[in-house]
Amino acid sequence: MGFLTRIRYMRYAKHYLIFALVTVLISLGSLVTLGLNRGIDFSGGLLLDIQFEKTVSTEQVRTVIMQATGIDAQIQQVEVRGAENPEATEFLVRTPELTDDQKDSLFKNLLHLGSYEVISEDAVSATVSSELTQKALLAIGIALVLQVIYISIRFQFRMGVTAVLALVHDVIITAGVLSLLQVEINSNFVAAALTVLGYSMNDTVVVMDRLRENLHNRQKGESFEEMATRSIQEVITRSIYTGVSVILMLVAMIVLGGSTILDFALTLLVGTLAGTYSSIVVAAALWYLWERNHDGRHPGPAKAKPAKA
Amino acid sequence: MKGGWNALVLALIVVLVGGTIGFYLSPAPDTGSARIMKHMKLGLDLKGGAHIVLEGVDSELGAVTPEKVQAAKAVIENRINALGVSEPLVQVDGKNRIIVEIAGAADIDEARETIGKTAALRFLDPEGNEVLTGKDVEKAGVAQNPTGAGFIVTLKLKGEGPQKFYEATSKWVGQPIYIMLDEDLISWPVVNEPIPGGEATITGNFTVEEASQLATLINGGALPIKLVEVEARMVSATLGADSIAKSLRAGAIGMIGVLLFMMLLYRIPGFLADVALGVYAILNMIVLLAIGNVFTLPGIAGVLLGIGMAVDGNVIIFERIKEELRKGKGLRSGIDAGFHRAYVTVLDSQVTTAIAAAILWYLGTGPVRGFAVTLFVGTVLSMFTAVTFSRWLIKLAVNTGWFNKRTLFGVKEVAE
Repeated sequence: MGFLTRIRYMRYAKHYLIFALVTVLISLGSLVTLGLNRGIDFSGGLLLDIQFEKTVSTEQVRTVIMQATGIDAQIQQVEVRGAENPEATEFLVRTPELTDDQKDSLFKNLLHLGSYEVISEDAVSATVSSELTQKALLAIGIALVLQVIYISIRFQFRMGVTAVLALVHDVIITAGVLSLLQVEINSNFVAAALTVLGYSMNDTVVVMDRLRENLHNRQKGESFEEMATRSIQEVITRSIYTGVSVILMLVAMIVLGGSTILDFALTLLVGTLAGTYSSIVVAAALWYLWERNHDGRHPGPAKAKPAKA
Repeated sequence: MKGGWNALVLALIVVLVGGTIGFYLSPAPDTGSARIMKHMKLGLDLKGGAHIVLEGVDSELGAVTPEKVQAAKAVIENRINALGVSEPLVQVDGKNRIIVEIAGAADIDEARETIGKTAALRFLDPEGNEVLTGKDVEKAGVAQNPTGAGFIVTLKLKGEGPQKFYEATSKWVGQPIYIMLDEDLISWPVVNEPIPGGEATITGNFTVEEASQLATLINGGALPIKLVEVEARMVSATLGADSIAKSLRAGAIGMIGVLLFMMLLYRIPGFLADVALGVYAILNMIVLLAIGNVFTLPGIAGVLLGIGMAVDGNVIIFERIKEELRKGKGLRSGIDAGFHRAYVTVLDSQVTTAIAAAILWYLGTGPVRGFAVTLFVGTVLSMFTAVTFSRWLIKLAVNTGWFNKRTLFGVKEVAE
């Protein structure tokens, strides 16, 4: 940990931004070409009503469908209808569109669990309405504008703008990684994206807070660059510790949680990592470069000998 | 003996918090976890609910077309959302069916009540002739009563509606027009004068809730097709019961990892921060249960983010205290200065998050709202527990006099 508090962070401010720009462009490229792999919540698919003669568990059905098609279906047990055998179990299975081959393989493999009957098979629409998505985006947009205003009042306008740019960066990177890995996007993605936004905002405000404090509290003979670097050095330990706490939680969910929670936890993990480094790499570096060129109060090189850290 | 008293109070708090959490988390049948689960409302994704299939049929409202089925789906969605039922699932099935799944219903009948009858809206004159149907209503809204107290419901008619309504209101001045939803009479405004132009208001000294409920019923009643129920039964959670148990265990293990990490980093204060986190968890649960929150996966994400921010608040404060101690401050003044300087940071980060949560709650629907509620409650509470309460605990610990600088924060004596 010690070396992290000795890096001359702001010496490399431009390199960070180039790195951030490249990763954002790669993410956008992936989003444009590959797109997001929209799951059943967004694109609709198949709804199968399957009745087994014997008692079968949700987990068994899930495993078989996974082996047969490679798809993690949404499976709900339902009250049994019109079965002769009291041990019968019935499931509603939602999957994305299946090819004929996938369907054959699925129906063949389900026989391993005992004999069954397909009561119905229908094409179903998306469950996430476009209205929900629009409202979510509108809400996020307004929340971001208000955050710029709040940070402008409490800190300064440029910090508000750079903080929000860092947030946009995090969401693009998170979506880009999901697009590159072709992870299925379902309605829980909305909640995961919001969580990433919240975490990232909190992280950026803490870094900005330290910059604000040191800006008004310059050490003798300290250049603007040294001041910004010292701020990052002071705050980096906290960023790492908090990041590790959150990642501990998420790794536990990824390793031990069920398959349905995996995509959710993975999204949060990518977002947390992006959010942690972007507070420094995007928000602080961008603010530093912008502020340096804008404000005569901050001289470039140090005139006196630097203060002892 | 001042130190002794402080130690006693501290020990009592630790035992109380540990005991409460232990009691409510223990999986044994006759303990608190069962009681909490009884009071906890869980969403469709975590617990399941009712699965109801409606089929569009040709009727006097018109023939069934795919567009009309889509429109009917939107009407049902709006109606359920207006009732504030958490995160229903509504989808079109095949060509003419709509699947509705909603949580929180004890049985099918209650779920049917919630969806509301797939009602046909009709306006009848005093002789029982049909004046208007749901097809003629474009939109109902709520407005402040311009001429008196309370609220009014505004109606905007479309198609042949304005003309039909004008004729009827010219004929029946001084008489009521009956607004029916299927066989239920929902309102009977009296005609004051002929109403041209297809814009009408219903005044009835409504409160804002009554007015918006009536508007929702009128809007929701405007189903473009007749729907009949073809299937209704209970279903298990959409996330899969198999997966939820695993996730809960994973969450618990992750949480224990975070608590141990805090102790490892900050020794005694870390342990005290864990106690404060325990108090936070208890308060959070009490508040969410009290406001009747329906727990869903997005809601739990909000809770987790709140925990993350509470942990972060403590990390920020303790790092500050370490900084102050390294500068050579004494223990008490270091703690005071650390809390004092970190307080602004924590406050700013929490307020920014709380603002965002409030906006998401106000504008969002479904999962967005579920997330916003728990996040808002979490940030407001952690401002208290992560700052005020943990500070008080640490002061108690210092007053016992058992901890010198070295053991309390793991800082080497006055490094320079």
